[in-house]
Amino acid sequence: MKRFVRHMAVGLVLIGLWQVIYLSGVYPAVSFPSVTQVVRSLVIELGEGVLGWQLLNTLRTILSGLLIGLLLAVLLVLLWRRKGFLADLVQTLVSVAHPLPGVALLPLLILWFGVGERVIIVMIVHSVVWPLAINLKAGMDAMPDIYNQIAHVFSLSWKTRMLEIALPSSLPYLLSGLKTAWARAWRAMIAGEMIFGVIGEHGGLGTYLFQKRVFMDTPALLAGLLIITVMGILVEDIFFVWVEKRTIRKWGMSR
Amino acid sequence: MSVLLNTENLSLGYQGEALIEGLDMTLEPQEFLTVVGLTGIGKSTLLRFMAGLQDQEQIGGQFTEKTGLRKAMVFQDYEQIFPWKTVLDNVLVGLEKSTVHLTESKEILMELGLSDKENAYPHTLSGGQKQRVAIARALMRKPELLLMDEPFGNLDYQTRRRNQKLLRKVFEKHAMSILLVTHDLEEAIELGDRVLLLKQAGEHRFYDVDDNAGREARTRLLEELIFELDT
Repeated sequence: MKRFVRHMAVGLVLIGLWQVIYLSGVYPAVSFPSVTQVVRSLVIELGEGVLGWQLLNTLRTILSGLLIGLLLAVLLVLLWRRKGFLADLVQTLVSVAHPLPGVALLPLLILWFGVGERVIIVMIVHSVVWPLAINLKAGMDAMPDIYNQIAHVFSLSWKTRMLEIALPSSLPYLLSGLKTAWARAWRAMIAGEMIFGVIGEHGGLGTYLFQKRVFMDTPALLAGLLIITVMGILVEDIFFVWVEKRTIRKWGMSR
Repeated sequence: MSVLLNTENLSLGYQGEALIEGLDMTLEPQEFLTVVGLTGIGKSTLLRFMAGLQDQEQIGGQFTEKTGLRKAMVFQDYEQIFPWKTVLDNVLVGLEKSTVHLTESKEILMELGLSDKENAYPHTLSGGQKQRVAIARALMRKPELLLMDEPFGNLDYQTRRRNQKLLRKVFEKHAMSILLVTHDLEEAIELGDRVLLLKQAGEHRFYDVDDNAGREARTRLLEELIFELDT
């Protein structure tokens, strides 16, 4: 919460700076609207209800992609940690696929998955699965060897080893992977939508931004960006802080 | 077989190079055997071999243990306690949280003076308390053989003494044998019924510790051990 307040304070300073630039008249008002115009636009758009639906739609799609990506990452890491051909395969796959921007894959993805929400989810999954897998693997590799020895001596089952030892032990890494994944999922989502336009009934925030750009509605465009920024700060400063407080900080594992 | 384990001419080592050579030993039920020797002589190697940790190899000789021997182990490292589990959950790791187990674990925690720490997370515990949690966890397995690798090696003198006394009490209450590796000769005499001294090139000797022997006899034994280690 403290961090949230601090970030908000920085945000206010930046907004003040924005207003100063606007008042100086260096840029034309049509491309550099005042803070009040942006806020008014935000209130109107939210009041009409469509922006709210678009935000929900975006969040839902992002969360689906994240969830699928997380499950896939866990499976990949389980294979990766075994020795032999499958591990090599996963290692190669990660090295090849991780640096590839999702947007670069889009033409191919469209050919394979068609147009629509599905292809965006595939793009989100691609954006999140690699950083998640890399972080989870790093976390499991960093696990002290003594845990394996204890598991052996006390004959712990595979389930106990995975759920009660490997997972919590790599949680600091997994959480940092999730933060990266969250940011990347947003990028993939917005990029995909701006290319496809409306998905579902109302589309998402990408659709919104695209439409506002077409109509040259700069205040509304900025209102959309503001929402994305605030969502990012909320999740980073409130959600992740909440999770960390209840896990790795409570356990004295926070690094 | 009445003995818990028996070795004949046992050689252990890494990558074909023997660290322990020609060891003959037996461990009886309810016996406390301490193992001493200079650093790198293979004390821990021996213990880890008996725990079934497969990082060393048996190069030669015979090793037999009672079939189905229940073993548990306490390590030196504080990291052996999982930071994300409370004391109680650490003690119960891998066991069902049944009423029986809960009652048992609470009794054991009380025995080890940890009753008020049941719900504490390890990072709030002292080093001595963490080691006692590890002992509690091992006791929950009702071991016939408890293997201990320098369990008090990281503790300050006072805490070590207190934990040693407690361990001896625990040993006398639970019907089990303990094999404890230490570099602390006083600890070896204080705790063990017998002391196994490992020397270079497979040389080894057993010393009986007479519980009723006076201070003088113990001091003599200590001096003998120090002399043996130096030569």
